[in-house]
Amino acid sequence: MTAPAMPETPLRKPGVWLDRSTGECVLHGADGRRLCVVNSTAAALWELCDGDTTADEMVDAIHLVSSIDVPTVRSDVLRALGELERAGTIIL
Amino acid sequence: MDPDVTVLGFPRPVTVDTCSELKASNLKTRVLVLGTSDRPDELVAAVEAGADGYVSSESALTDVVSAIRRLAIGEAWIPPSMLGALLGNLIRRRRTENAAAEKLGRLSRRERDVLAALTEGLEAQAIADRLFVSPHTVRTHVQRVLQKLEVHSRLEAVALMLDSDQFDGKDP
Repeated sequence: MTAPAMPETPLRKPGVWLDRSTGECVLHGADGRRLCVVNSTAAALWELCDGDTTADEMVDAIHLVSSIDVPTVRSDVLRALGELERAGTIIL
Repeated sequence: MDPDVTVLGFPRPVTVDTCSELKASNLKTRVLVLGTSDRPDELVAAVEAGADGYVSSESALTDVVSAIRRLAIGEAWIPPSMLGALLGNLIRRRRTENAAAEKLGRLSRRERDVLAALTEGLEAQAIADRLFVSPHTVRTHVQRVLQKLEVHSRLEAVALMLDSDQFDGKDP
């Protein structure tokens, strides 16, 4: 069985913004609508979705910081990016 | 003595060196770095030295205690608001290292010897004496090194070498 393909260079949707002022990480749409609440790692991933950074680079960096094994990080990043896309905050 | 968690304070380089030594030792202690501010460069230096956690000295004492507890149970701790900046910084640094390594891979063995000597600050005559060649040959090698590395000066070439992870700072 092959691992799911990693998205190339995810991109934040225009107008979406991150609000940390309440202590939570809340992503809002351009119209101010609350799109989703994410944990700090998912918020950091969303910040890295600049259309230039690859998902593999995100995996490498998180692996370096957390010392969690690469397959686990890869799976977590893949799932988080999928959830961010479904919430309408990024484009894969 | 092998404490569960060791707390190190900035400034550099003492903290970074101590952190690296602790992580390279047989001690199982986990290292929390107490930085001077919320500056990403301090955070990146700490993480690259192997720190398991980082808190700013401006953090509340409860945050420091919380971080120590997290490390003690085997978790990592980075201030949530700094995580994105940290990851972005690490990714940029990795790109710089990869680009430098790719360029250094273009050099012949002799050209690498010359570049290593330049990194030590040696002049053409000293390099010639070391490599048993003429100063003219050394200058030819230096020109080729600059061309292959796509830089315009010896200083830039040395900086690129230092940017890569192929420089160990040891004598050849």
